[in-house]
Amino acid sequence: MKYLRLITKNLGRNKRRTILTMLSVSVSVFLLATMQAVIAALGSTTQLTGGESRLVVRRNTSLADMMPESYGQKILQVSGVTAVCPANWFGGIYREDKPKYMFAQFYVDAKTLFDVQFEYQISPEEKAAFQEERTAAIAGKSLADKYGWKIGDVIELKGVLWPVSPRLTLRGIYTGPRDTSFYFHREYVEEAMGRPGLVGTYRVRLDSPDSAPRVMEEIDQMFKNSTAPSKTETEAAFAAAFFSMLGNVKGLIGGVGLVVVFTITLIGANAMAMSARERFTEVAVMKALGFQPGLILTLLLSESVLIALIGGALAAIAAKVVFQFVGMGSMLAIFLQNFKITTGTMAIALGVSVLIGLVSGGIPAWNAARISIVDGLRRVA
Amino acid sequence: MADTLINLVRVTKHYRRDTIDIPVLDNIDLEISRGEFLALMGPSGSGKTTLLNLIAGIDKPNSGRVVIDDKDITKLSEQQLAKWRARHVGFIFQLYNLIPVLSAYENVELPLLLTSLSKSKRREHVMTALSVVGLEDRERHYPRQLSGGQEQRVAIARAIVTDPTLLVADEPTGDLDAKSAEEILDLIKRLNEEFHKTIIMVTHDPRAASHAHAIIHLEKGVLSKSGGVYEVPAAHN
Ligand SMILES: Nc1ncnc2c1ncn2[C@@H]1O[C@H](COP(=O)(O)OP(=O)(O)O)[C@@H](O)[C@H]1O
Ligand SMILES: [Mg+2]
Repeated sequence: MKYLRLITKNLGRNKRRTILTMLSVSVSVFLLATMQAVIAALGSTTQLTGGESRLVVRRNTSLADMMPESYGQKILQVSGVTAVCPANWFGGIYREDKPKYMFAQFYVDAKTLFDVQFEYQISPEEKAAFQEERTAAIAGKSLADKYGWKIGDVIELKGVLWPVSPRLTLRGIYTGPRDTSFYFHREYVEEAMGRPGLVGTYRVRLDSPDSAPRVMEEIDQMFKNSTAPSKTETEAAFAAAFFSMLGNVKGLIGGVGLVVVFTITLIGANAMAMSARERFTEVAVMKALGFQPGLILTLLLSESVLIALIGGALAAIAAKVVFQFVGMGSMLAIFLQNFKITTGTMAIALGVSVLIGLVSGGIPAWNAARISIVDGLRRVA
Repeated sequence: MADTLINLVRVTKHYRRDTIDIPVLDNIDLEISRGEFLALMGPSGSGKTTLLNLIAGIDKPNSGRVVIDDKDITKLSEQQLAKWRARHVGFIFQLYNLIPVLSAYENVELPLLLTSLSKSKRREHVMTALSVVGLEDRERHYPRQLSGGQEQRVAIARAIVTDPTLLVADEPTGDLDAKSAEEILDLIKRLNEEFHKTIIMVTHDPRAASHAHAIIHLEKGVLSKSGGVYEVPAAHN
């Protein structure tokens, strides 16, 4: 610690060079953090959420407005559509009307649910048990874990939007990228309400993400002049199409990142070498006074690591601010789900900074620490 | 025989440039007593700095022994030698060689960082050293804010702050005007007389050398008695 002053004072030796070196590290680490976040987001997109092959059809006016049951068959006729499942938001109260008891509840067509939500994993037995029993329900694993539900548990919901309070038996637990929903039979609610035949949304499965724009257009055209015009939206088809176009974007981004970091390391090494060369005599004096080569090496390396670390920290903070608080993140999020600068990304950024500091400062510091005192002192004389 | 501090025995040093051997010191024998103030003179290139470096333990001879305080320092490893220098040798250079980014105080404190002294103890030692050289009011000044003479005094404070046995000075007044040079020489003399430091001072300048108790001449790698003494008497305490 008593050497810290020595290190910080040396940073001020050539302020312009120190700041330029710091900023060059900042720029490269900022780029790297961005690329890392993009790669991470790409990873989570390609890790099938299913969203890229799915559309949601709803009324063009409001989510509260309904569509007739007959739309289901018509949507299924559109080429590129492989499955359709009507799904209504139930929004009942579980136990108490408190935020901690709130979760997504849908009453759906039990037969087609798994065709549309094809990413759900569930055992054939549980799936069959759910589909065969009118009062059966399934829950996502995360949700079941949250409330400690087990197969066979009875779950009672109190209707708020509808005058129906279902008493359901949990027959299955599914897993998937998003396993936080609760599903029960559309039949149950329809029957209790005297079969009004109203559907809040149709979930539509596509043969391929590429069909999305055309199918969306065709569905909305089909109902345009009816009493209940529709609005078809995509979960993430757009993002998927965008990235399938870019091809091996991950490899490209990773490669560019490496080149940038490598270049900055060279620039940093040059700055550190200049700085060390100017100080050969001083280093020789310090060694004459009894400073061991190891200590000199540590001091010089600490300098370059500190410069790089400050630069890297600035970059990490800048990335966080720019992408989160300024809202660039949400702009990018249109293309990339889950685009954010995570703590992991920040840690990688700082780790890379330290590495840049060590590598760029390493050789100059090593050379300086090993100079002969006599030669170092002769440089001026 | 007086109390011997430094004893050089058949010391030879040569440099090799390409294939040619450049002899610098040829079989030097030299004994210096504790408390001595010795001036080392000789033409440029005669090997004065080289000899001083060997005594100060920053260079090693090709053969021979350099015994200081009964210890043959040519047998020490790099690490041991660094420790030894920190304890026993104070350096004064022609160009002061202060660290420009450190204040006068921090420059003087530098050798103390290697000790286990607490911060407040270090402060005590630094201020004492600065007061010996008469610069306690300049502790916050940086080298570029000081005159050459003041810089050299700070450098002297740095050399004495660890209270070493031996001070080596390589042309300490070589870069100073006559008045500053005189002040520095008086100061060095005081360090010898009041603080009993053993001092070896390389100089070109006969007037500077006249402050010393004894003068030895180095010419073509050999110590000569002409115009000075070879073996020098102990200082009178
Ligand atoms: N590192 C070195 N390599 C080659 N020759 C050297 C080296 N250091 C000193 N010399 C030579 O050794 C001789 C003595 O040098 P030095 O001790 O500096 O003399 P002085 O201090 O008396 O002027 C000179 O001829 C010098 O050129
Ligand atoms: Mg010399």
